[in-house]
Amino acid sequence: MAAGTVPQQAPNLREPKGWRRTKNRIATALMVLAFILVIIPLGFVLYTVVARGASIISWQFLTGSPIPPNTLPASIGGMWPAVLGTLTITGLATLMAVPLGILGAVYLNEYGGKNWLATLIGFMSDVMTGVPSIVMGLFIFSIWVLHFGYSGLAGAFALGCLMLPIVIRSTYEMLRLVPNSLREGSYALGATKARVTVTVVLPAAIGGIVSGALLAVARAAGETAPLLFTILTVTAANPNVFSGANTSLPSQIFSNASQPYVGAQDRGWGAALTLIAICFILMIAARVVTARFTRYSR
Amino acid sequence: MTEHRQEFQRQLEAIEARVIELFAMVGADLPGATSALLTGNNEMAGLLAEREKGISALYPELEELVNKEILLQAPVASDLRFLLAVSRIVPEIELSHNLVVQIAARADHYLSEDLSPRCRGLTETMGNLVADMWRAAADAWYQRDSSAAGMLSERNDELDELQSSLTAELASGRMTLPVTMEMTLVGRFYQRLGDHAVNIGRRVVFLAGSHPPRQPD
Amino acid sequence: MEQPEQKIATQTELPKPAALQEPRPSAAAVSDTPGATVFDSKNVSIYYSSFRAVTDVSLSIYENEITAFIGPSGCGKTTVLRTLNRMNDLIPGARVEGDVHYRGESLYATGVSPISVRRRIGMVFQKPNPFPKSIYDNVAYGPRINGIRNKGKLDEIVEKSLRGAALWDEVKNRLNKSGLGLSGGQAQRLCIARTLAVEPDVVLMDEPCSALDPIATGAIEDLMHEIKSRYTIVIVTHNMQQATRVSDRTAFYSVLRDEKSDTRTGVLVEYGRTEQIFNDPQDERTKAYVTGRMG
Repeated sequence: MAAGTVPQQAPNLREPKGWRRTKNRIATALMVLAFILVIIPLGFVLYTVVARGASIISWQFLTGSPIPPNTLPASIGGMWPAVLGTLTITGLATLMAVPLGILGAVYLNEYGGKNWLATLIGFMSDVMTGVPSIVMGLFIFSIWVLHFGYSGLAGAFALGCLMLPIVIRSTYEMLRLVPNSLREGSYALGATKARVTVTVVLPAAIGGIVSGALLAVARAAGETAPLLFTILTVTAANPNVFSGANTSLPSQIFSNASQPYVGAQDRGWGAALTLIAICFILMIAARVVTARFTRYSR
Repeated sequence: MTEHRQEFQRQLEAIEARVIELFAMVGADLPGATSALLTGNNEMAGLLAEREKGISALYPELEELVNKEILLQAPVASDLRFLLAVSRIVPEIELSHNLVVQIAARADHYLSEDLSPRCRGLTETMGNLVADMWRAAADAWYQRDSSAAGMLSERNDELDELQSSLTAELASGRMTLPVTMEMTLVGRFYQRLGDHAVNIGRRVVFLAGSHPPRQPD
Repeated sequence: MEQPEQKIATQTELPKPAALQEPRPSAAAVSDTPGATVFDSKNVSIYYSSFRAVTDVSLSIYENEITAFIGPSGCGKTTVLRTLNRMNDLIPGARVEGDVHYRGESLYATGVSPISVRRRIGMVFQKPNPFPKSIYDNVAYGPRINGIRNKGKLDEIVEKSLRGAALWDEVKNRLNKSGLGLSGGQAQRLCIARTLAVEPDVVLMDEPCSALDPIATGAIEDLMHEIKSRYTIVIVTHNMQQATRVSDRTAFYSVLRDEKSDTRTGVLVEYGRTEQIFNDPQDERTKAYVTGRMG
């Protein structure tokens, strides 16, 4: 059959010249430009913080206590109270917000369905995401601090309120991504709803849930406004997080940056770099944990 | 119905048409062979032999068609029963036509003159009976009528009785030896034609399944 | 002339050919007297909110048989299958009218726990759905939720189930690898092993081979034949050749259109032995479907 046919021309598969090609190139160029514009401020911030703060960081800076008066240079004294404060207050906030947030998202996705309570919780959670952080601080101030005084606990409440909607939202999205076929497979083996959720759904979503929670923690660690009215800002380390005023790295950055003294400025930059380093470590931890938990998903 | 299935339906109808044609040929040639035998007309044999050659080409073609449809279409239910029934009755029709040709080949001027009246009568009766049976089998096939099998079996018994009478007549020695030998063979031929008709009746039972016969147009 | 006759008379009988000697065992199995009744559905109608998906289905499923549900898309065969282990409960707004009896007990009576129903009546789905856990944990999942914790016992159950699903030899050296790393056919056999691990009474299969290639399909069909003697199997399939190869009984479902209200609902058209449904279907609709002339 092929013997008598006219030899065919080889099909032309090359990119057609003309407007389409140019359009493609323009779009690519614009995207690269946008990316660069985004990277520039980020890079600039990182560079500035590292440049200004690197010289201040030392073991003494990180563990020395108490925080000296603003007039003294940064090489004397240390930031330990702030580091301790950040770790303990954020830690406490995490302990309160993350389990509550995960349970709330589980309710919304697995149990609530379309009933009124689920709709209400979902709506409220979304509203809370938009509440300014200083308002959270004021809220805790008026209901807790006025009656029980300043404490790390109050700060933890405020940070927790900030973290809660983030955890709920990200956990909810992760749970929704778990395919229904997995749930059906579990039900078909005779599992109760609770079993299905705990043994199949949560493990399948755990990677995303953990990384979402860690992002919330990183965000909370860097908040200043909610802590203004809840912990006050002291210079001595306060290991008792449940009573007495406390301090944190963001608070110290704020108070030091507001001072005209060189020592204070330097201490501020050092605290900023420390805070960024803590967030960075949390990000890496999030990646490692996610990788570990999702090793069966590939 | 999809285009693909319509094509399949057309193929089935083509096969049915060929089968009906084959039935018709045997049905038409059989009385002719009987009368040729009884009147001694040996031209008929020539005509039938020619026809046989043409028909012989049809059988393998039909079988080929049936095999192809079974292989490629994976038929079930009535389609499968139809194709299986066709592949089983085609040899019966082939052999039957062969027998008709054989009967006509025996027609001879001398033979027909030499037949005793009783022998002639029995042969004619047997010829008519077989022709009737064959017509009934063809009708049964066309109408998918499974009740015909019983009737054909009964008439075959009748045929067997006639055959016994014929054998007795031949054994009486009233006719010359060559004639006796030829008529013995002819009697057997008619009997075998009857058997083939009965077989076809049985295949129609399989073909019809549990469904009532379709009415003639 | 006497002697030749005598010789013939005293000749011994010819030995009976081997093919006629003993009764063929499969012939006995193909008799029409079924075993115990496992499921008995009476006038089952299934509603999704106000939409009647399936109308008035009545049929019985018998023990140690493979029953196939065939029919065009949207005729409700999967819906009916899911009533047999109360999986329709998971769909909000789903409602079952009529009754389904499992070995004499009603499945839909008040007080019946769907959990215990599903422990005895397992299900394999169309798209293989292994859990994102190791192969071992996938198979051990069922026994673990039934309270078996002993490692030795679990090892035994896992091996037995994987052997039962004809998967053991392929995965015995990588039981701790993820269940998601298996090919389609292997994943489906893993799901079958997982279902068999809880030792159910009945295995329901919803188009188990539709996502698989012919070789994997053949392996699963072999598996069905092998386990038939210990389980009762009901399979939904849209592949008629599979139904003829595998099943003892076939139920044909179709869609009934109501011209006045322009609604569609699924109905059971014909149910009988597979050879009868595919050789000589009684209902015109069944005939049109199996010969490919429907639509």
